[in-house]
Amino acid sequence: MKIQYRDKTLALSDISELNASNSGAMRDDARAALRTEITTIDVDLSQTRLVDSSGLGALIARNKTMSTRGGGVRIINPTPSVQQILELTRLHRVFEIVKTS
Amino acid sequence: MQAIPPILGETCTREIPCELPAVVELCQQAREFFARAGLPALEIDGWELALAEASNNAVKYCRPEARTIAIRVDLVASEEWMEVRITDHTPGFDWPDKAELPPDDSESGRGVFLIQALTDESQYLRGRGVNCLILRKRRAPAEAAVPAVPAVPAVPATPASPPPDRVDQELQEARHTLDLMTEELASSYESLSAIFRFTAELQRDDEAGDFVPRWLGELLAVVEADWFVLRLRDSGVETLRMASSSSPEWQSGPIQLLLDSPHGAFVEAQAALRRSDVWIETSAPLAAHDPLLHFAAGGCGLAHPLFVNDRLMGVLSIGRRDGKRPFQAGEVNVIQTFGDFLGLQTRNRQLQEAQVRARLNTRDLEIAANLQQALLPKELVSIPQASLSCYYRSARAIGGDYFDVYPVGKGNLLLVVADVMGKGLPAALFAFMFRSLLRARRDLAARPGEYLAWLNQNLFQELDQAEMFITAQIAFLDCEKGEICVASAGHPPLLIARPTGAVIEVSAGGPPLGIDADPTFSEARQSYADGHALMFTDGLMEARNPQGDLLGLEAIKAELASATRRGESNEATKSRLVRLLQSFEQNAPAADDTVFIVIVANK
Repeated sequence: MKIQYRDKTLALSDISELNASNSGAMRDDARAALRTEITTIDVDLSQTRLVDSSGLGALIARNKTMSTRGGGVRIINPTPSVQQILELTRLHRVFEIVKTS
Repeated sequence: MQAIPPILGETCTREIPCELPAVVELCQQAREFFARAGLPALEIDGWELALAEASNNAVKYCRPEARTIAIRVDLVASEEWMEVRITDHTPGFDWPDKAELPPDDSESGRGVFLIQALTDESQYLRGRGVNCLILRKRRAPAEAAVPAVPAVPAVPATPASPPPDRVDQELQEARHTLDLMTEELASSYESLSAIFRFTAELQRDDEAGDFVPRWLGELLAVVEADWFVLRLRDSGVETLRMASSSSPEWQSGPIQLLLDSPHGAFVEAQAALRRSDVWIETSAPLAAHDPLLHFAAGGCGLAHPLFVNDRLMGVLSIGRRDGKRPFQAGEVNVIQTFGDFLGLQTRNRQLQEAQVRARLNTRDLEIAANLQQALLPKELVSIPQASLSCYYRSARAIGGDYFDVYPVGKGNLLLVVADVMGKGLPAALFAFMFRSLLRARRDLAARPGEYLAWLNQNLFQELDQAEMFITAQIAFLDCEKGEICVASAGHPPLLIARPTGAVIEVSAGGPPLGIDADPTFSEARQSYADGHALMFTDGLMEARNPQGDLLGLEAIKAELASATRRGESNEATKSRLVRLLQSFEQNAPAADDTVFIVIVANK
């Protein structure tokens, strides 16, 4: 996973899957990298094949933290199967989904 | 019933250690399997997620002591279905029919929802410390493009309007369910394929009963069990009667289905009364006198009640002698599905019989019943020398028993009782033939043996062809001599009671009509003037009480002796015998037609 800072945004990318065995790590990494000025986390899911319920849980946890700061988690370019999962679980209404291409 | 689809599933089985990273690797292998099976990419992703969710749960909630046991995963690809089975060692949990989504801000609780959303069917089978989750999804037809957006579920086709007859409708439903279960069984286990050799037999109604023991034998092999006992419920009665067991020589009486009866503690009764599986295990010994002690003492097993539409059909018990090897979830699943299948099959057969009976009950039965009634004498001829009383009871609307009395010559009588083997229309038709022939040769009346030989000659070919036979007894009442001349064709004896209390059995004659082409029939002569005589068909002797015991000849002889000793009239003697019959049968349904004639000499 790649971690980048852009202004008040923490950008996570290069994620092949977000699942039970790495969502905890993602949570920790993101938390460790989380500076107080960050209000938005962009999670690039364009390379992601699979997001499972643990992965969704991790995203929701980050979103809660960000919303207390007036921001949130944005999902960037989800793959069709991830998009399907977000819609199935109705979380497309919770996260801002950004498609850049 | 539709043709049963053959098992075409290609199976891939993996056993993974109980840890999360192993699940990732498993999912990778599963993707390759699904790709080889030709699934489109989006479906592969969906299956991977469902498998990941299920496997993660199997790892996360595994019982601490079972962490060293591998988690087994079966991937099955058939032409129509994809299927995944995950065997876990968690304490198990209640699998919802339809999982709900948690609140949007909840960080957990979406796993089961996702599994169900991504598959068409899911089933969670719970066993003792081991459970099995089965996920299935129908494959999109190869030529159809996969829609980008999930299609709106098609409105199911309106079923054809149900037939007016409820039996027909229920039969149709039962058949449909059978089809579904057959399919499920077929996909259950490859080893079960052996069983499907026998499903063809299901379609041969006439032999429906025979395959059950063989089937259950197959089940024993499939689940590696040592014994089984199948009991079926007597229709309309709260008892379970032995139908089949792995030891054919083993006998066991019916079990009463009442909680407060001594049978209430028996495992099979418990399963039926609680409507749920009852486990047999070494830690919970069976009740004293439980019939299953014969098989299950020290072993383990399961009693599974068979319900169809809330109707108890029976109980299937099955087990192993080794108490340390309880059935595992997959095996329990096979036993349950198999048992339910058997229950349905039994119900199906009952319905078919009901259907056939209902059809017969319409026109054919009316005709046959009219025929049959027309055969029987409207009123009994009377002669000065003797008084007669007759009793006739048909086990069904039409029966094969026949009797006749007619005057011969100067004040003599010919008495005939006959029993056509079998019941229903064919029996009635043979009774009709028998009567026509009988009436054609009254000149033979005084020689009953010859009479029978002539009847046999004329009936043999037809009876032989139809594989039926007739037992008959002809008695010539010679009033001048006060004698009775009797000949029988394989028929129960004629009884004559003497005032001393002795009862003579008169059984001269030969074989039943239709057995030998050219037999001879001997005759016997006895005086009837000082006692009561009785002619009857075997329905009287073979009347059964609810326990299944036969009335028997001795009871009839004793009754006839009492009547003679007391000098009772013919009518009083008849009433006495009817009372004997009724008090013995206690409302048990009559299995056979019954006829008897009481002959009392007038003093």
